[in-house]
Amino acid sequence: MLGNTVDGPAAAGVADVVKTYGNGDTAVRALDHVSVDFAARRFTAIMGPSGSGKSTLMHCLAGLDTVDDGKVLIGQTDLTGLSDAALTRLRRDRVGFVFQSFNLLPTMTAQDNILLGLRLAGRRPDLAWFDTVVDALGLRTRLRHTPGELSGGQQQRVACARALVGRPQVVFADEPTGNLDSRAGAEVLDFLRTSVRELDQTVVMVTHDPVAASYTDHGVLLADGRVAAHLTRPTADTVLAALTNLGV
Amino acid sequence: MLRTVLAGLRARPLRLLLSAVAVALGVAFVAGSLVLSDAVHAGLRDAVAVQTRGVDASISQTRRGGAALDDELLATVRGVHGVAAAEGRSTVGALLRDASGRPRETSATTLPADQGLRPFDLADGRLPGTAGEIAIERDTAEGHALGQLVTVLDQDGRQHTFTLVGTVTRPTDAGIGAAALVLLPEALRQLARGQGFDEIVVRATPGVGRPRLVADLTGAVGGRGVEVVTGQEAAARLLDNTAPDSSGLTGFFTAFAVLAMIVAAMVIINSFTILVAQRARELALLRCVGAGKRQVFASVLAEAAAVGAVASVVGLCGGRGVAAALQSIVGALGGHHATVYLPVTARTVVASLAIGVLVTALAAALPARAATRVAPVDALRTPLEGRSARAGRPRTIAGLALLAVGVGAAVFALRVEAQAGAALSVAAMVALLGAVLATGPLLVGSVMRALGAICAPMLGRSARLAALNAGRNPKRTAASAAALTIGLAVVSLVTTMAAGVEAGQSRSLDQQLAAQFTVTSLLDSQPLPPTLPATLAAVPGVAAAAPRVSFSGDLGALGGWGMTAVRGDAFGGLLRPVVLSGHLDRLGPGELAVSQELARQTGVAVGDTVQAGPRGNPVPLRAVAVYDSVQAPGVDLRLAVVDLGQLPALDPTGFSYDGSILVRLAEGADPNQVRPALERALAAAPLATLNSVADLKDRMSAPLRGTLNLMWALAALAVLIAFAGIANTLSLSVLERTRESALLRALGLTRGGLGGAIAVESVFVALFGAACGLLLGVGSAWLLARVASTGAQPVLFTLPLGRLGVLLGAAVLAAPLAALIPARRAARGSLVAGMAER
Repeated sequence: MLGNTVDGPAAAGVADVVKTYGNGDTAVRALDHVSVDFAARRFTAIMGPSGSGKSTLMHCLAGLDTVDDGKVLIGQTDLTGLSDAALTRLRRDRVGFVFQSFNLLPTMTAQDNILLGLRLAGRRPDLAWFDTVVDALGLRTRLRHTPGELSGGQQQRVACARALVGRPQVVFADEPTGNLDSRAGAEVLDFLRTSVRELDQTVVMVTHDPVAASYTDHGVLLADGRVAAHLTRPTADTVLAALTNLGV
Repeated sequence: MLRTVLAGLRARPLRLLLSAVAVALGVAFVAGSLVLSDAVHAGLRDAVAVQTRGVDASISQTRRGGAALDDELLATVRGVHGVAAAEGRSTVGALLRDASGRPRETSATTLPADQGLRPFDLADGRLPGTAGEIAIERDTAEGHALGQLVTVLDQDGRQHTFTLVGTVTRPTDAGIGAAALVLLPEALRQLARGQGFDEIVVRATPGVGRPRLVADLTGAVGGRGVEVVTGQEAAARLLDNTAPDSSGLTGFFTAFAVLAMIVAAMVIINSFTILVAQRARELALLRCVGAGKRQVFASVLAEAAAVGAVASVVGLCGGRGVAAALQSIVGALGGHHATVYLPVTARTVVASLAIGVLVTALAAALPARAATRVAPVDALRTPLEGRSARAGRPRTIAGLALLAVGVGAAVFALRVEAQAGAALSVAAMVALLGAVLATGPLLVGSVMRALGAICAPMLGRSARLAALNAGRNPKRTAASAAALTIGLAVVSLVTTMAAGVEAGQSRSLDQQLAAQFTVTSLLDSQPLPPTLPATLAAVPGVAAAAPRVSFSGDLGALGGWGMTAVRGDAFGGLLRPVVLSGHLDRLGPGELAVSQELARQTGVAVGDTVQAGPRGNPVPLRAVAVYDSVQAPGVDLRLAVVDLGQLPALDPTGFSYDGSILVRLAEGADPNQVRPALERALAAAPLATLNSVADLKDRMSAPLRGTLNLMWALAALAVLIAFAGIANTLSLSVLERTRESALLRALGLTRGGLGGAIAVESVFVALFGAACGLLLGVGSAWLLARVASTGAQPVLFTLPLGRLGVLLGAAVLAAPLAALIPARRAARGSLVAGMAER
């Protein structure tokens, strides 16, 4: 395998990926021959300072953006070269998302938001699994509320539920606690960790917050578009130290 | 502040483009109707100039019975010093048999020997050289070949045959009715015996001044009721006397210009409301860094004025196109190809620009005021998506109040008499329109949910998403639908009314006329041969044939009125007007039936006796009935009816007109089989034409249909503006929802699915607007039909389902087109960029 980070089968990965924005003098190489695998049933953090390429890496992994060179794998599927329709199908069937903000459609209730991805795919929700996810997130009493009637933490938990309810191969979370206070953030992170440990899910989270990273099993540190370090069972202190080593 | 306005304009050209389109379309219509009214005058001026070209002096009679403008006078004129040429001009009405043998009304004029005094040009062949030859205006001559014989009927119905030797054209004939047939003076005299010339036109020898020429001519032939004026004066008089028959048309267009402007204003208000809402943060930031309320207000207004000015200029140019198109349409409806005039006067320019800029600025004032009322910090803090405009209690109250007023006015309208009823109906319509506009935002939510639920099985998740999106900002959705509502309300009202009037005419003709055919004279003034009724009655299959004629009757103390004389036994068997009081089974000598109108105006009632006819020899007439009757050509009973035998006593001058014969077939006779026999019987009377009841109905509804077609063409523009508004709203909404769209795409919605949802949203909005408009229009038509309907001339409320279906179908089909650009934009957007925004 490409990376040395795997302690189990890979749920997703990139091999020798290059991504450049702009051209000529203004070109920025966001990903510079990056290779990394993300283990199944693990909670992985992608870390790094601003502009290190961590969000770009996640967007490419999730099929939201295309790469200039290299391979992007979700399970055994190579995303490079897939048509837009195929990418769309892949996203709705095999990938879940939690974003930093604006995660929900304001016009729909929490329940409709949770089931949105399944409805778009025309899939029948697994009711037992739906109940499991909703109860684990403590959303049972909030299902009929619209996002405007929920707190930020509750909204993000609804987003987590939506990401998990389709049993995706991998869940990508982009700074999921970025807009939350520390208590609500801890709840969300706790749930993401629970979903990996107890519900056998795979979560890849982009964060620049060392405390958030400390909830994960594994950390991948990016700097200037390259993999700078791997951290196993990161704590806030080891992450800070690693970041300091980068000279940030 | 100006810099921020300019920067704003530069940054948002696309967002402003569609509002600009709405303004431009509205202004185009205003400018178009102004250009059109100028064009009518320009056309007339040109036509008059052609008619009087080469004329240096014109000699005419100032009063009847003055010295005749005859050959003798013409010879005198030709002898006056300074006269290069003088020609007698006459125009007489005549009928030309067209290629299919049907006589068509036209007129004939004299061919001036002098080339410089001819108000037409030779198009083909040559001009007549003998009294047996004729030249015809090119369009009129269609179907006739040079060298053929053509038949012309004069005012007395006599036939004359001429050889067609040439065709002529005029550079323009803007409806001043210039003669189409050109004959030598001696040939023209055959058509109108014993008449002098209408006018003698004179061309001066070079070097002779016009005032001098006029003075000399006045000296030679002036006085005794003969007057000499310069050619210019003659042209000015002709222009004054030629009533522009298009003035009504111009008013019609102006009404539509107002409609277009109202619809455009609604679109602009909506666009700017959205634009300002989207810029709330930017404006709040401006406030935070020190901009005053007034400055923010002014900046929004300035932006609107700039958009309005640019769009108005575009609209002004488009207006010339609209005017050209309308002139062609009107020309095509009139059956001739019209010369298109596109004069742009200072009035047109100033009015169009002023209206465009003012309407845009006023439309932007409301949202601009709203923008300044948001507390700066508030606007910066609240996320845009969270703030949706909800319809409030005042709106509910206003809507219900307007509804109550509308319904109340409608109920009253049905109870009072027609005139007040019509006024109340209009008030009811306006109030109901107001109610629909006010309550629109309250209804949108549930309507959209219902539409979503109905369409979901067919359209799937696109329908649900569309319903959610259309329902999320009810004010905005209702406002974009409202423009369509107004346009469609007007069209459906007129369409339904026209259908009702047509159906009413048809039914009343069926009820009041028991005849299957009428025979009318091609020339109103020319009576049908007196023996014709007997001839027709003798045709196998004919049960009865009764003559009827109109005349100006003297009813003594009651005054003079337009009356008809009918053979008394025609009532009951052939004519069955609605009898309001008395009996009208037959009408004998000494009896009079009066119309409801005359009874109302004079107070005459059944049983009264009227001393009619000349004062020296009065005829006592006893009123036996008050009736109300349908007004159809050749069937109209006018204001009063007497027995035909009474006619000579009541109308000693014998000037009757509009004569007709009503023909009823025997029981079981097939009209199609009797028709050829009737036509053979009419062969001896060249002016007589046979009309079936279906022909009559056609002739009655033809003007209505022409108007309706024109209306549709015009209303199409208002609807176009409304769709520009829907496209605009959708585009702006799509911009607002960039992140949401990206989220949906990330969660697995395909490009097609996203675009489809926006197309469906557009259809829902259009459906909502169209349904409101149709309900309103049809409801108003029902009310008006009830109010305007009378016993004799009912307006039947009928639903022209075909036409209304076309309207609804067009709205539903046009909606996805309006969504094309916004849907593409939404589907094309980059996912990553979309989510990164803001």
